[in-house]
Amino acid sequence: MLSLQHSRRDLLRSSVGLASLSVPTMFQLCADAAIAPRAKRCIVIYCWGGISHYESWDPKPDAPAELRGEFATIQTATPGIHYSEHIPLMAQHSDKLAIVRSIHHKQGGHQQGMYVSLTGHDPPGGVKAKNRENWPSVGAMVSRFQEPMAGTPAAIRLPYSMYDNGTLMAGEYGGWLGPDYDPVLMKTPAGKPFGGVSRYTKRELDLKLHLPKDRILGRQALREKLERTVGAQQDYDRLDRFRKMAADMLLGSAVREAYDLESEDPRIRAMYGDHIGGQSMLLARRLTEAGVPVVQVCAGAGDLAGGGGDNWDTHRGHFPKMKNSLLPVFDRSVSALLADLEQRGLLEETLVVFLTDFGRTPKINNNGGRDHYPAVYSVALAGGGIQGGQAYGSSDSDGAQPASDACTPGDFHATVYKAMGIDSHSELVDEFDRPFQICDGQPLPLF
Amino acid sequence: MKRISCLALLVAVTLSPAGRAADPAALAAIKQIGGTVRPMAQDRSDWDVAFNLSGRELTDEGLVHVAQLDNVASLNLKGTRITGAGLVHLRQMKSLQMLHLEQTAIDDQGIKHLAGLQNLRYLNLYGTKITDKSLDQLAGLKNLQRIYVWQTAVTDDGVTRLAQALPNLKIVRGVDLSMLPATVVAPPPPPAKPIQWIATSNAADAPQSQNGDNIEVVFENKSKRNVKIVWVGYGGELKLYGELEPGKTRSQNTYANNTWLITDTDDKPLGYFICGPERCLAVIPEK
Repeated sequence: MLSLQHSRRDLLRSSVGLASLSVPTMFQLCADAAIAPRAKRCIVIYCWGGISHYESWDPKPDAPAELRGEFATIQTATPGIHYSEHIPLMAQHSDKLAIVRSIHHKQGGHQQGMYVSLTGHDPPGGVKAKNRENWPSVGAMVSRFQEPMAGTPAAIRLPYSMYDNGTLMAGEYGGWLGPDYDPVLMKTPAGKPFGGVSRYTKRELDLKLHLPKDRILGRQALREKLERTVGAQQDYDRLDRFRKMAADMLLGSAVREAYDLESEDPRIRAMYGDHIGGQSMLLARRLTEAGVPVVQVCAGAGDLAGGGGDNWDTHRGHFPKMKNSLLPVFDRSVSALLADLEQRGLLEETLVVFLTDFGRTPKINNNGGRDHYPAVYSVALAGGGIQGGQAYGSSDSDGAQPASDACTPGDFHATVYKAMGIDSHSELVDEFDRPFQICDGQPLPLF
Repeated sequence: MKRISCLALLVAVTLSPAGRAADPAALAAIKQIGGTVRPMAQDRSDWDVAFNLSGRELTDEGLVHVAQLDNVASLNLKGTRITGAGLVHLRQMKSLQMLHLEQTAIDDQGIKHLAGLQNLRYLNLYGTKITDKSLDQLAGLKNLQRIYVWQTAVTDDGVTRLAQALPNLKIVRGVDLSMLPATVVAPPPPPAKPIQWIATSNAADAPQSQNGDNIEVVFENKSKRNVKIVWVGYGGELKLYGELEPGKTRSQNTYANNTWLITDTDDKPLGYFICGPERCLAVIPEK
């Protein structure tokens, strides 16, 4: 395989003229690492704002009271592994979860923390959401190596984009992979919204159901006619792509069926919870089941708005907000997702990835909140060949520093790529033919 | 030159991972009926064959082509039209490790054909007609690690017997739906905003419909007679959508800025509505 490795870059560069051979196939065949993929689909759950590791997967019952917080610790279904008390349903699914308790990075702001968490790379100074120099999100990157059916987007985001006080955040887009790999934003069509601000702007795909077929075709024909008279076709290429995709779906694809939550068994819908957080997880299951390779779910209000709404940026009133608003929705929806994937036999081939900006400070501040803390926090994986029922690495007794097996977002991403059967050392080129190694981390031994 | 040789190799490798030739006729036949065939991985010489996304019309006859392919490690027949009898074609597919049969019409009669698939480690039977009899027939599959039997007729007894025969097997039964409350999770529709009734006896007064967002209009007939609900098209054409009895309501899919003409049963116009931007309430008045 060494000779193949040698010419991989040439090969990828030449991919433009080789329509008959798909890039992912060529790539897989020329990659050097011997990886047996297990996962075929990936669901990324993003806890926007920075979920506290103390009040979720890494409680510190023996820490001093000013660090420990108000919540107790509970035993999970896995002997020796404890979670915080307000995720009791998830604790019953600990056999499916691999918690990583020793992840850390150096980015203390949301924009930067989200960027490094979702891309696996530190952000440049002054990072902006729309910059094509940015690194692609892990979802976009995974989708780059998939071959979905016609009319099926390679990656979808639910249920809205992430903002901080009205500023669109960088990190969840296709970056230098180009606009074709921007995960497509879709609105979840049901569920009680998160408290706070969530912006429904610039949605690229809004599947309006029950539209008669002749009407869709009529609109399409009209648009095409208009655009022929308006101007240069290339200006419309990208819009065209989305429109075509939307039309394909509306005309009766598996994705459209999946989008129709009304067709789900009401008992299953109820299991996920009457909340957009739960209904988004259900939609993620339905979309991946219908052949969408990657679905990312924002698990929290879309705009941090100074920590005002139901997002994980709990600078004030941390404990009541966690206990009453955030953790009940998270606990129920994640538990339902894991149980539902398992009973359908989908969990073996579906990787579930939990990410967040960073953890929260050990010390509780004067407003009863915890502040940003990237020095150590917790993330998790489930399904897709990951060995559940484990906690990898540890933080110290105060939850302040990694105590063993310290790892980075890059290492975590390398683990995701490995689970998806993607060699994390592979190189891709951007539109200027500049080569990039997709990930500089090392896969964690979670398999 | 290097590139060309690599590509030439690639083409060869695509068609035959690790040098093992796949029957091109079988490949073509599988593709023809909507199946996909992919290598399990670049370094593996076995195949992943799937019909669950694009090949759901697959019937028992189609399985003949699948059986002709050597070295299939994973076969996904979820949601296809196969039956238990069709599983006879899988008898010789000894390389199978993963088999998806969920949400098909397979039954106990078909399961006996799987008894010789000694490499099987994953077997998905959720949402099928199998019973405990199937589980008993699978007790000899020593490499089986996971079996999925949610929404089937298997019982505690059958599961216990299989668990005793195969102690390392995980039998996934799923949640008991009968124990789950079926609370309605759909939020109630937004309140309908009343729109104006414009009385007229001349259909030409009702303007052509204009484009707008997809909304719903609720007609409520407060008059003492049956009325007809007629859509005024984008070109002014009239299209009857139905009749509404006195005192009844009817929800109708429509678009903002659409015009709805109301007539009596003799097609004599009484008045019309123009839909607003949101879900609207169109009250046909008493007089």
